[in-house]
Amino acid sequence: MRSYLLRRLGQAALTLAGVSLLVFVILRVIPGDPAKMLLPEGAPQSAVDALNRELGLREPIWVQYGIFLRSVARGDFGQSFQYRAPALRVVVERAPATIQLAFAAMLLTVLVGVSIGVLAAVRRGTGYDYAGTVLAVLGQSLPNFWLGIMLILLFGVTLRWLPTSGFQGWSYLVLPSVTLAAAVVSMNTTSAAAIPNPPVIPNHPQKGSPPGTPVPKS
Amino acid sequence: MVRPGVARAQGRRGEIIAGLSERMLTLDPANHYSISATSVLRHVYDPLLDVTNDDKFVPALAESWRPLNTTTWRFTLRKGVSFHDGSPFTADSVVFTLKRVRDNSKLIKSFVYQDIEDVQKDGDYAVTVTTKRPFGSLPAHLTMLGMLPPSAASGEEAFFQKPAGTGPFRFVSWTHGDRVELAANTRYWKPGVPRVEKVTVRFIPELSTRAAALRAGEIHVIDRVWPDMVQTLKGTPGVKVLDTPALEAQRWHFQLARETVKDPRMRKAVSLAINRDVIIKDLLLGYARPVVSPIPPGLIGHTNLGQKPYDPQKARQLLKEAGQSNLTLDFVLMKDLYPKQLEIAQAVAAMLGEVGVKVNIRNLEIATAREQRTAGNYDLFYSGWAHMPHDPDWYFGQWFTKAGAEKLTRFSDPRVEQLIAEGRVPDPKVRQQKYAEIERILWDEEPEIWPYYSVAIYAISDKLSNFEARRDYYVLLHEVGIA
Repeated sequence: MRSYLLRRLGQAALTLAGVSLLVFVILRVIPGDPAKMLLPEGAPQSAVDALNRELGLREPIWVQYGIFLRSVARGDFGQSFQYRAPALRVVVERAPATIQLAFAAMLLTVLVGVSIGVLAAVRRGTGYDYAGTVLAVLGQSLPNFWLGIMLILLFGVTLRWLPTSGFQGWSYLVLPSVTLAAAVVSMNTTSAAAIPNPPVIPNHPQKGSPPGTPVPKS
Repeated sequence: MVRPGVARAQGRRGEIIAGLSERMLTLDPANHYSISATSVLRHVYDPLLDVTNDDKFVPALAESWRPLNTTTWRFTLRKGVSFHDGSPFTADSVVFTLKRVRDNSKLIKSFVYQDIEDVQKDGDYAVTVTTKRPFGSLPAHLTMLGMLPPSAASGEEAFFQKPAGTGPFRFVSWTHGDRVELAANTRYWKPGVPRVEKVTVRFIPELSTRAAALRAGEIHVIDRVWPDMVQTLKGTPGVKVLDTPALEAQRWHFQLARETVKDPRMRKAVSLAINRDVIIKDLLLGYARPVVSPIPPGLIGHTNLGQKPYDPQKARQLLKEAGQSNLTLDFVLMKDLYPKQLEIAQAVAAMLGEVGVKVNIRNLEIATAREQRTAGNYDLFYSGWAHMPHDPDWYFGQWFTKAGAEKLTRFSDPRVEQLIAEGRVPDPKVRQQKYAEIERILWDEEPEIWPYYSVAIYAISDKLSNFEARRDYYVLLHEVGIA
């Protein structure tokens, strides 16, 4: 048991090291000079070099990796070059909205998806089933950036029922979560509908059970 | 004389919500070079002077200014102004603000002010600035630098959490990436300003979302409207579209060290082959203006050199003379930066194809495109220049001096270099003359193609009164009222 644990820990450590190296390399390899992006187009090269030195980007690459690892160990996410603010703060500021939106979208997905799926399964072969299928296919095919804009135009601009953007209350969550849910609803629908019909014993229903009780296949 | 407080209280009401395309990244006027941030921060801070929409420099916190000699500027300051925290505005504020931006090299604007030798106060309401070499564009740069109270020195981070300026609005809050909230400064030094109680600036980078918010009545003004959005906006009841020629010239610059375009006949041929009228009328739907000089009208140095002709016949002839056949040019674009840029580049490729030049359009991520430019891997590069500040000195210094252009266009011409240095003096007559001379040379040499001047398009709710569509892309709400 102990050797198993040690082995797994070792693997985990190796994975983490690999991931950290990968993340670091990707960040450095992405084209773009952060100082150049921050300064206006007409800034002289000396200003670019100075800012790069400030950002610690002129050190040799292994020194930069070392600094990177040390920051990780300390939980220091560093500075966002683009937002010019502590990166952790940038993430934390966006967390509440992200979480609420994700939650709302998931709730919709489950409620709507499973309901349609079950309905389609129980009423297999009827209009409900076909409607469910159509909805599922639509949800998967409509690109969500198009759907989002269409919903904004219809419900925000034309009907003025819902706000077009921003986040100042629950009504602001409706359109974005519907848009996000659309693609995923289809998956829940399909899987809910794919639950096979309750298997039926060909001839003898269980004595005493109310009609319609699912009966195991023998 | 009516007491200012009474007059203002009678006038001021309502809230304006603006939807801007660019997110604010800092509340420090010295730490950004964004047109949008300059516009928003102008509401909280006053600079020493402002520039009007008809290109005049007018007093703000400085009542007057003049050059004492080629390396000295003197500013006389406005009396009776206080910061939002109650402290008085005096020469100490100017000395502090200028020395801070010069000495703190972490600030984005710092490099511009390195030429300042010293800043001395002369009593409480006058300041003398001495410079290491002539700095004629200093007043223009100062229109973008809000004055800070010296108390900010004792704790900058805390100060910028809730900054105090002298501006028409007080800072209330900033939700990063979402909005900035401002409230009227009831003791502002200019009577009748502001005209509303509250301003909220929302950041909505996506144009269709921004336009949707305006059309739904959620916001009152949007900036950076592209030509194809105009019809929809004009057709929406309650919305007005305003446009004005901008202080921006599109410029496609050649990589002057490349064999393909080194020969001026080559560049002239490319220029002759491009039908700029078609681009302006058909692709930009008329929302652009023909160029008559590299510097747009309204800036010092602008001069009328006539429009560049469209003559594909002559282009073919020049190409033959220069012995260039089977030419291929790499045309690099920075993705999605300018309206219709891809369509325009494609049109240009077709036009050049007609005179026998093949164009290879490379539509790259902004960062990648810039790297390619530094490395010199391009023949023609799609770019623009919105003059910020309102002075061409920076444009010339960056793109047409050997040092500035080294990792960009590889331009180098000693005559131009000399004229740029001579144009730095404060005397506007001398500057106009030198810059006009530079432009004549550039117009002739064609190191760049200037296809059109941009047009700035705004859309507003018809509830707003007195909104001015500015040529510099600023959205200023001090004197705007709402019904």
